[in-house]
Amino acid sequence: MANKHYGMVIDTKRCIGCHTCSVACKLENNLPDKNWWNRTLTVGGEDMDTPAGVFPNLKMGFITLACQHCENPACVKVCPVGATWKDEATGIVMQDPSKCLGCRYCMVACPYTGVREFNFEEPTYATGFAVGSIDAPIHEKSTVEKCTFCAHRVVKGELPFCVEVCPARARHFGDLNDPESEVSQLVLNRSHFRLLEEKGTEPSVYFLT
Amino acid sequence: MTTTTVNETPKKSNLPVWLVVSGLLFLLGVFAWIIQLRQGVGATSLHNLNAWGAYIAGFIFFMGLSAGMLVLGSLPILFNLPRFRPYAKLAAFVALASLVVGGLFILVDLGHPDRLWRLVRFGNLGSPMLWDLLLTVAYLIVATVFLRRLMTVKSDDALKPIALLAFFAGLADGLTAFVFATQVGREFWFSAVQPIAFFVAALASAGALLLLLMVGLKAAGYNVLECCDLAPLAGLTAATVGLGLLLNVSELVTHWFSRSTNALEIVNAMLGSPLFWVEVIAGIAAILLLLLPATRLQSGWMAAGAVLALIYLAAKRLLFVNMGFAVQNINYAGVQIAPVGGYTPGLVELGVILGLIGLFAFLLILGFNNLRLAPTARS
Ligand code: SF4
Ligand code: SF4
Repeated sequence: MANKHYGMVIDTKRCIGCHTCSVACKLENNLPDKNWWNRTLTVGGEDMDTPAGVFPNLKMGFITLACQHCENPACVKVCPVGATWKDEATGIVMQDPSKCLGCRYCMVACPYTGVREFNFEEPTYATGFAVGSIDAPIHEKSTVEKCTFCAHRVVKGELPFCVEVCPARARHFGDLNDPESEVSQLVLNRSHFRLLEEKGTEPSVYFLT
Repeated sequence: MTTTTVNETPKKSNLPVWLVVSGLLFLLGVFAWIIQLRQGVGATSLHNLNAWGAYIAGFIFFMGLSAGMLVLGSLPILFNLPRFRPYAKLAAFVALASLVVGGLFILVDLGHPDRLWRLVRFGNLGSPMLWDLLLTVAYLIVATVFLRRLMTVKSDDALKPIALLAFFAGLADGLTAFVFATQVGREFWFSAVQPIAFFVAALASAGALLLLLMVGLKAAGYNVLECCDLAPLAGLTAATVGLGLLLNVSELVTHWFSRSTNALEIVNAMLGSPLFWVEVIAGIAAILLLLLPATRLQSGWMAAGAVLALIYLAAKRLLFVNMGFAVQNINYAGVQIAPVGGYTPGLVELGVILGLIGLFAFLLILGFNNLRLAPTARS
């Protein structure tokens, strides 16, 4: 079986900045209180959900930011112990907290601000009990973690949870190696950009415009 | 060897007070580290948007010191420089001590020091951090052998091969810079000038510390004879501090000239940081004290110049690390993932750092007391 290259396509024309994907990610992956693997960012004013410009000429949009599962991942190259690596079969950049030294070199290397987060303290949870998937990733003090494209769901043939829950149907997920896949077709037919392309990391997340 | 004689019976003072003070400092550091281990790295002021800080700066500083000392220790043997020759033993010993302390700076930075063994078992040779680890091990071996040979071998010719190795090990300090200079995501670090700048800073730190030790040891009653003309050392320190400042100017000009948003942010962050001004003022003051005819080569002023040079370097190292985080590549409003404001080392970090500096002083004093390191008279 040929290797897959999973990627995500996010339609900025459809995204309404509702944060559902961000919250769903927290839930599905049982994220500790302080962590956000997927953040909804306001492209506009200084604060969240504020526009840029002066009334009546206002502008506001959104991007959601999580690990870009780069084809040339800066993080993987620097990890001294291989605790983060690119899975050949899926193209997903994985992370194993039980191997991580907590040196934070990957956070330093990743150009995408804040997609990797370090558990500076013993993780705490708002609910006091585990939520989300039974096979959600573990969270360990003093290790780095990040989005895994919901690898635990993808192996079961399911979509990443953020894609599944998006009420605006702005998120698409699939195999970029397959020219017939929905994601490949969207990238082929719609104008798009990727974040920080100039850094040469070859991100696997496309934003439609 | 015609220009130096080995005086085997230098008068020793054993600095008991300093030994106790530095030992206590070290204990304080251990205490602070235990707090950090229990609470997590959250006990420091580091956060998600400033993932590295003072510990990494300390690591760069001490690795540089070690490299600079190896170069200063080996040069006079390789190229017959009698005016630098008396410090060779001292330099080799300081190189060894700073290496130990530099390595410990990485250890205290790790969230999981208990997993250090994974570096050996699962080391990823592609990671610049592993290059650095290998370099550290190489330094350790070379510095130990070098010191040992310096203590036992009388002829400089016989010392040449190991001195050559030590020299190259020192030059390889540039490798430390690659940990940073290879990072495409960190605009300030991503520059070919860094390996050179690191090397220049390494020489400056070694020169300054040697000067300080020479003056201090004499004051403490060690038999540092009038042998040693400190002028070349003072000149070297002033020159490398000056070169480092010039490299700063060149960094500022190249960034400023591009006028790109990120580059201007870097320039503003740099000029806006108190560390930058500490660096510039301490650096210039050090050069003046070391070179001006009124203060030149007078013990007190020279020590002050050396201390200022070390302050300049410490500020430089911390500023360098901070500047890597000065610009957020993606800077849109969203949920907070880090405290607002920049990064200043917190109490726990200061405690750990003081502890490691204490350990460094402790090791040096032990060396002075037990090994015949002090430079001896030239015939
Ligand atoms: S976005 Fe960052 S963390 Fe994710 S693969 Fe790319 S470099 Fe690595
Ligand atoms: S923090 Fe963990 S995953 Fe990141 S580079 Fe260090 S060991 Fe690798």
